[in-house]
Amino acid sequence: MCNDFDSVNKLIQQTKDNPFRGLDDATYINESVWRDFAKHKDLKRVRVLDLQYKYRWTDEQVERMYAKTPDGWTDDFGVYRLFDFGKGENKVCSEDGIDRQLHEPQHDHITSRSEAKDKGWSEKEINDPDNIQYISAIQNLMKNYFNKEQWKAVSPTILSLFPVDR
Amino acid sequence: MAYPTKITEFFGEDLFRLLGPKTERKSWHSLSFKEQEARKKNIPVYISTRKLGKTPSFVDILFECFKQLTLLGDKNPLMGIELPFYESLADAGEQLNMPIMNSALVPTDNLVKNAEKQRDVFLAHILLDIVFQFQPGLVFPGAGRKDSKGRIFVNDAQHRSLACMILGIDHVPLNYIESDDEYWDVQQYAAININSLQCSEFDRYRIRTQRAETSIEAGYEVDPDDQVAWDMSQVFDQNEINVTEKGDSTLDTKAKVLTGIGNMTKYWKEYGPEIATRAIQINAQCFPNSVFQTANSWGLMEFLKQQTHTNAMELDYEIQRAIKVMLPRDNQGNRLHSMIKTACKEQIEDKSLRWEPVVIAEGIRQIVQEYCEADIDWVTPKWPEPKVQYHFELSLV
Repeated sequence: MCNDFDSVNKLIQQTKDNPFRGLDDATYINESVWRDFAKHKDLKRVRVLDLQYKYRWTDEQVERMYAKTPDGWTDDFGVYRLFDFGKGENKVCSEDGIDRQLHEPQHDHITSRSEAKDKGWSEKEINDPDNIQYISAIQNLMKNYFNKEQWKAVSPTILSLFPVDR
Repeated sequence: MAYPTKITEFFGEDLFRLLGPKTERKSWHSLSFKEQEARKKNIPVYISTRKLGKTPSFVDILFECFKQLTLLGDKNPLMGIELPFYESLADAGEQLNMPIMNSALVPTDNLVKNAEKQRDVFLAHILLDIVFQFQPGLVFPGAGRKDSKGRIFVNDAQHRSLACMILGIDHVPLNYIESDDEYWDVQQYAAININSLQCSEFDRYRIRTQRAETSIEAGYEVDPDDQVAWDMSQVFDQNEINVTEKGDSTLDTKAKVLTGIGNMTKYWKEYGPEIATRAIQINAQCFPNSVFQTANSWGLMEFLKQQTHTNAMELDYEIQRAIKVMLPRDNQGNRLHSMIKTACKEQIEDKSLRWEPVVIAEGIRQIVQEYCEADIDWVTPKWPEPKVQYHFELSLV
């Protein structure tokens, strides 16, 4: 789990403070988001606005999602990692690898789409901010593979399967 | 006479490939108005002949036209249409029971005008465009009708003929039919002035450029408008800008393709060659992968016009650099002017957006003011009516 989180956190903070200044769709999605960014200077909002287009959210839903989204996450060792919210030219961890896994925020359906459908939820309910959270790419990867029961049963035993640290 | 061999070899003796089975064809006029309209929409407006070589034969051109129609498949507007076929013009005259065209040098004494059917005389056109620039090789045959009394009604080329007479010439070339029917006066006038294909802005530019070149080669004086076209063509060549006809779909790329040559000519004349050249260069260098946006050049010209910084090269460099910070992609040419105009429209009450070049120039000023790091005093564009200025702000990061 060791990445150079200090350096990456610094780079992410630097990008937040000095974002890319060009109107570029890969970075700011479209002119509307660009205008919002010019006003708020907030890369987290760019990400949330991206979801607005995906799920056709209202402004109220955007604000709700924004309010509940943290700037980073803390792992079990107590290491705090800033989320790399930037897109395109503002992305810090642009290459695949451990830095990206730990700092890239990905949106996750808290109750998975399939489970929610089985429960009879509407599309609107499934994709409401109440059912969506930003988590790190590595968390999302592991959550995608196993359900809650599997995690509870197996995950505490995994650690013992690795060689003992010498 | 029949269709040329090249045509029949490919399209068939009765143009099967173009028109479909003979038994299934109907005349154009038997189609309903709706059917005609639907087919009209499928007729390609423009067929490029440049790819056919420097001097394509008319057979080659006809072949290309037919080919483009057949390539439309089930949208071929001529599919199932029975075209009339005539062995010759004389044959057509017989079949249609109509007079045919004769061609001769006719005495000006015999020329008359059907004043009710023809337009009035534009004397300035006669003097400025013909008499003062007279070239006998350009006195094309006019069109007219000779009646049984020997009078020749001139339905096209009254100005040319009058100009010749002013210059003492007493015989002019004329194509005419023999008829006492006034119907032909209207028909001839309409065919030439209403149904004829107008010269496009691109054609004007192309011909003027070529005429300037040939005039220079031949040692003749260059027409001032031809000189403008030629000067522009030099700047376009230097910047690898491709001036083309609107709707030319044969181009491999849209990069630096300029279809608004009419507007560019207007701006060039309005702002002068020096400012226009600089604006064109900045625009082309900022967005080498974009369609060449004349609106950007227009706004740049207006902006440059106001600037007082003495080092033009430095000024242009800084403008270009600032624009590229804001619009970093080479294909964002459309963004520059559209973003500025959108921002202005959204923030002002007057939605008609008068003074477009000043609006774009003001947007460019805001961009350079924000993104330029050099120590330059940028001058704000002047609004034509100072009391009615547009106040708007671009979203800049």
